[in-house]
Amino acid sequence: MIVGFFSMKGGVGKSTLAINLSAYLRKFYGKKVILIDFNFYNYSSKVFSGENLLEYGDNLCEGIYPLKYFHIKFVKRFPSNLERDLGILKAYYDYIVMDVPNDLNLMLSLEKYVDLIFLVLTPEIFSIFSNLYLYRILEKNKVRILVNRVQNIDDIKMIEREFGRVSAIIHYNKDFLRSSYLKVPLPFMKKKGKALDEIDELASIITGERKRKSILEKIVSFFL
Amino acid sequence: MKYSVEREEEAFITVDGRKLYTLQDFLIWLNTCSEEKFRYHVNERENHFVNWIRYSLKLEELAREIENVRDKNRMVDIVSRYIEGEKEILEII
Repeated sequence: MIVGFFSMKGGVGKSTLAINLSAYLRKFYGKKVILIDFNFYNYSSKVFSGENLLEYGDNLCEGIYPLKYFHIKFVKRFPSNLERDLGILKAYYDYIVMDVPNDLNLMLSLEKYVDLIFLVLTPEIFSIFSNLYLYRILEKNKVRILVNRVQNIDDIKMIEREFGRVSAIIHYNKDFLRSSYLKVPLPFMKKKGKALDEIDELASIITGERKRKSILEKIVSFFL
Repeated sequence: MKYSVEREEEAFITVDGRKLYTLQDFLIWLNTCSEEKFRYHVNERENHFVNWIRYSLKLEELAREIENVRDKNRMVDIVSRYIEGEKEILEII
């Protein structure tokens, strides 16, 4: 399955969420995951993978590093054999996670290959406005609205008025900052926490299965 | 770097035109190539990967392990195990 993190606005947390979701699928689901970083020479994922890793190869299945957290490929220019290479990677990996920069042409070129798009926005006017434009031109059945850095739940109502249903909410949480500072993805840094519960919810959108349940959910599932 | 080539020109070019820069590239190629393509590189007379692993990736121990392996699945097993064992090292880099 190919999952893309898209947004028309930079700095909304696409890379952070792509990194943590990839690490979560690896650690708690035991899946083979590759994170493809399309941020041409501006790779946020290098924080977690070592600054000295070199970007090799013009094709997607060339220059892949097997990190403990996930496998990673740094893309330095648009791949020439994208369709062929995605076929090869799909045969090997359970999940291909794409971290895509806010480049409209790139997002539209990748859209047809992606099974699910997380459209990432933050609850602020520029993010909502620019992503509304993108949302209108993307294939609606592939898109899931993901609101990041939420501090006030009332903001969600405003976003739902514009986009319809919000699929996932990630609250502002200092654990994300701590994880980047320590250069360890959250799932490999902590075992419990609200941020991990929210990443679990994100993972469940892809896998259809929850790994973490609230006490109430556990009680209900015990009696069912 | 122990698990990738140090220079772009040290890539291994396979019979189907794929460029292998890292050990993971090699493992994915092994997993997805046909038996016929594998036989082009590994047969009774030669094993093209041994020298690349020894001199470009500088993995002497792995090169010795696969030197006499002629079976594709066996080679996949050895390389997979090697990468799994290396992950603890990669984490620190």
